[in-house]
Amino acid sequence: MSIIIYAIIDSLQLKKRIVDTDELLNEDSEDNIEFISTDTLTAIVSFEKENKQIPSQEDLLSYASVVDKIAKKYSILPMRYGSILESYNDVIALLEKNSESFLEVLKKINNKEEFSIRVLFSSQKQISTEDGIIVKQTFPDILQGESQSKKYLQSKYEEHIIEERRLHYIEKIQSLLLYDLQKISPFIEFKKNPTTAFIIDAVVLIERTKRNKLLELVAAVQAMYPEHNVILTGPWPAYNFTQMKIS
Amino acid sequence: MQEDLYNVNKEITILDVLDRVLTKGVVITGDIVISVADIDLVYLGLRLLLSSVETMEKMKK
Repeated sequence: MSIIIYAIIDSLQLKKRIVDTDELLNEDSEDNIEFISTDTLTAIVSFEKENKQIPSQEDLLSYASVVDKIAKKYSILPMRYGSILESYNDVIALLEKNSESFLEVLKKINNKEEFSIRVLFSSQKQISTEDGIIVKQTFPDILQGESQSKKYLQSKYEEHIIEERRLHYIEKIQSLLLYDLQKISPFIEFKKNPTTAFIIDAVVLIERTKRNKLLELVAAVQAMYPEHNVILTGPWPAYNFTQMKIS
Repeated sequence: MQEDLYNVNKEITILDVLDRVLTKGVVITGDIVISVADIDLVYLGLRLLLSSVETMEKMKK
């Protein structure tokens, strides 16, 4: 038998209301969820008779769905998929050993939810337009000429300038977004963009009561940059703000 | 308008879910290394989707 852990929650949150697992996940839920508690923390788990060696995408989405349902009602520490322990006692030991750090992070994320904000160039054309033309007019004297080597250096110089301008442009939009986001939350992370299509890839943790302010802000950014795609996803459990490795 | 903001690209949302569930949150060190069927394809799907736009544009030039 193995015990899959979905999330960890402050036991006090559960004690304030008489909660059972049906209430946590809705009565018609087919998820076989149970609590394992200490005085301070509760692990939300399911007992599995068989271990799936290679889970499918559906398994992951199902796991995420359980975490999401719980997070809609409570402030939780979401566990990464694959958090499996062998026994009830192992779960208790995990909660007791890490009690202090769990409670600290739970306090930080209490009554907050996570959102992703992405701003994308809507086409490659936007990334490098017109700049190329401007660059050609401003080649340094040392790069002037018509030889093959000069043309090679000119093209490299052009690529460099375009990239420099792209980064400068991204920095400008990031600064603007950061300035406004900081008025809503101190918890903001900008991620390294996986491709040049991204202008911004950020996550923010906001109080539940400030959701509308975030929506207004994102709408304002989209209105300011109608030529780009502004994508907001969420609310999510606070995955990006609860990252910790425990043993 | 606000509701429209929630109406996001489904593929990106799935990527968001998988990215979080597989790489974020609390990690028990020493737990199993997960090999998930078809997940890499989803990841690559989005990355390729984004980069393929660039590649296509480059090819046009």
